[in-house]
Amino acid sequence: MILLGVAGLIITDNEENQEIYPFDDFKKEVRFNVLVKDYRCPKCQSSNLAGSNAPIAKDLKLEIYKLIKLGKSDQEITNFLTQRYGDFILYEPPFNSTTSILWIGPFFLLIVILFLVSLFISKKRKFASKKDNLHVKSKED
Amino acid sequence: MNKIIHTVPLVFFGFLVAFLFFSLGNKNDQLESVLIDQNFPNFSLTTLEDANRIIGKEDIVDLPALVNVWATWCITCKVEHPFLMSLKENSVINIYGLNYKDSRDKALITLEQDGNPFIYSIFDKTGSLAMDLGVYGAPETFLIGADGLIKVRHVGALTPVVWEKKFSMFLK
Repeated sequence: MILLGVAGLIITDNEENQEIYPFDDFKKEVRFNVLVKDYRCPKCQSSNLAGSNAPIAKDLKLEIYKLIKLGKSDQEITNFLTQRYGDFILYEPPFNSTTSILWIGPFFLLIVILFLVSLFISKKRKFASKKDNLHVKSKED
Repeated sequence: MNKIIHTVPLVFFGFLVAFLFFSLGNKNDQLESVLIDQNFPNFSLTTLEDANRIIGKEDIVDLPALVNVWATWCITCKVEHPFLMSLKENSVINIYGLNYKDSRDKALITLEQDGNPFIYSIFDKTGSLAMDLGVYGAPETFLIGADGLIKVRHVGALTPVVWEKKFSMFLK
């Protein structure tokens, strides 16, 4: 069900593209619509190619279209773009020594916070049980 | 021990705020060029001045030299134009133009009216050479070193300050 929904999204929100970038092969069309979301527009840098009207975005979309029609694979297209524009053009940064902090950081932070919270909770419990002990003591007296 | 545990999150948060605050001013919309220390890409295009003259990378001679990406639709290019003229007039460095996705007629008229700082301009009508250079707008300026490798790529107007900081050290 979810798969159908996702497929529907990819097909329907790119009717415009079909006019400028016509494909005979439906599989290639789907690949194109996915790829143009995976690359960053170098000019309007918080946007992907799909969501940008900048001239360079149009040029790159056209280039990707041509490369797909030539039978190039997704990896070959990614290589073409990163050789010219660098890793920054990938919307999802690659995982390497430089970006590992970016990827792992949030999880690491989460673990640290959970640890501190659990310490805090256990301290509260200890304090609460101390209070109870004192209370019982006075009653006994 | 209690006190230490309580201050750690606060101190960490303080560092985070400081880091993010200083990052706000870090307006880095200049992409790092991945072509540094690589050869200038091959190409086969006409010059702006002569539609019958086809040139390639081997026609960029007398290195080191600048390759300046410009167009008549580019307003910032007009801002840097006087500085390019001064580089030419003082024989500081050879400058080759890369006319980017422009009208040949308009470009020639503009050079005639404003002055031509270029030895010649490469007429890149479709932006194919520009794409191979990782260009994403105009103006951009590349410095090709004496060894034939790309040494610098600057996005935005070439100014005396930028020249001094990024380019001047590569002169022979």
